Amino acid sequence: MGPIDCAKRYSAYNVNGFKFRILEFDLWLKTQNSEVFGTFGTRSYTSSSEIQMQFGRVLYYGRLVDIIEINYHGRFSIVLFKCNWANTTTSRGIMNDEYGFTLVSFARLIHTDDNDDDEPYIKASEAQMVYYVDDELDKNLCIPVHVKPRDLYNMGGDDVDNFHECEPFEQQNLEILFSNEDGNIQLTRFFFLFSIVESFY
Amino acid sequence: MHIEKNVCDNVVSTLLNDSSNKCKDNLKARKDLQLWGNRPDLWPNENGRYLPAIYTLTNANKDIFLKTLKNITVPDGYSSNISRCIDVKQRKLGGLKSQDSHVLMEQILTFCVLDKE
Repeated sequence: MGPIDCAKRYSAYNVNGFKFRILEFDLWLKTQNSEVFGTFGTRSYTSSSEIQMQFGRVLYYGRLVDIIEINYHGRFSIVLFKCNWANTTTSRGIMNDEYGFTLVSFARLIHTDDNDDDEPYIKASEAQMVYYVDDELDKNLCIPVHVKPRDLYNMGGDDVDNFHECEPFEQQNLEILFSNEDGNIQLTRFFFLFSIVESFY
Repeated sequence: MHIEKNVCDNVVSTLLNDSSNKCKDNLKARKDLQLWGNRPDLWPNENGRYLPAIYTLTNANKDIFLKTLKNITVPDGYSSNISRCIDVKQRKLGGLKSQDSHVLMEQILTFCVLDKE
């Protein structure tokens, strides 16, 4: 016996300590609550001739378009999020810049429901919230910032290391940028030579 | 109580090199360097003028920095509407609450600045 024919649609949904709102509503607001992030297992083949399949966890970044609740005759129901997923499987869609920041491009989407293989839906419980900061220099790119839910406390236990309210950026590689410690850093902007700054005092 | 907010104000002010006393890259600081005989390329000349430091943003870069901040939209309850705190014309950032400073320091400031190089 499958689910009943009618499914409910929502414009907002509270799950995992976040409030998600669909993109259509977010466009009119100063806040954005439609950005979804998740790690999902994906089957991948290293080459077409290879028989052995690899199962890896891939980061997916997306924007929430629709929330659907499928009801199984009142016994239980499943909430599904339909998202526009950025193409994070290629190096064009997701990249790391020289400072270690992740850049995501929404120019090309995957799982757009055109093919039978596509899966634009995820379970609501798998969704995590991020927000995207647009790159001013390249309009296609944005930087995802991960958000920890408020009022959700880690009571210790196994992973004490992860006890940050906001995860600071870990992957910065400042040592590479400033490898020459002993005073070789150029301290002034030399292309400015002819425009010496006025003193304010 | 407001250590993080004060540090944030100082960092942003120094980056934007504005005329408030929150900017820590001023003539007195440069004179101190001269006094200590340290970093001669940062010393002011006899007229009290000095070269901008490597971390001081150019006007064009300031504009990109502020525009990035201005266009940021965050989830509900994350911080206040930061775009209201920014004056792109006068290239100023003001009126941040402590929580905004925290968000700025912890998350946003790093890539807003790094973007521009």
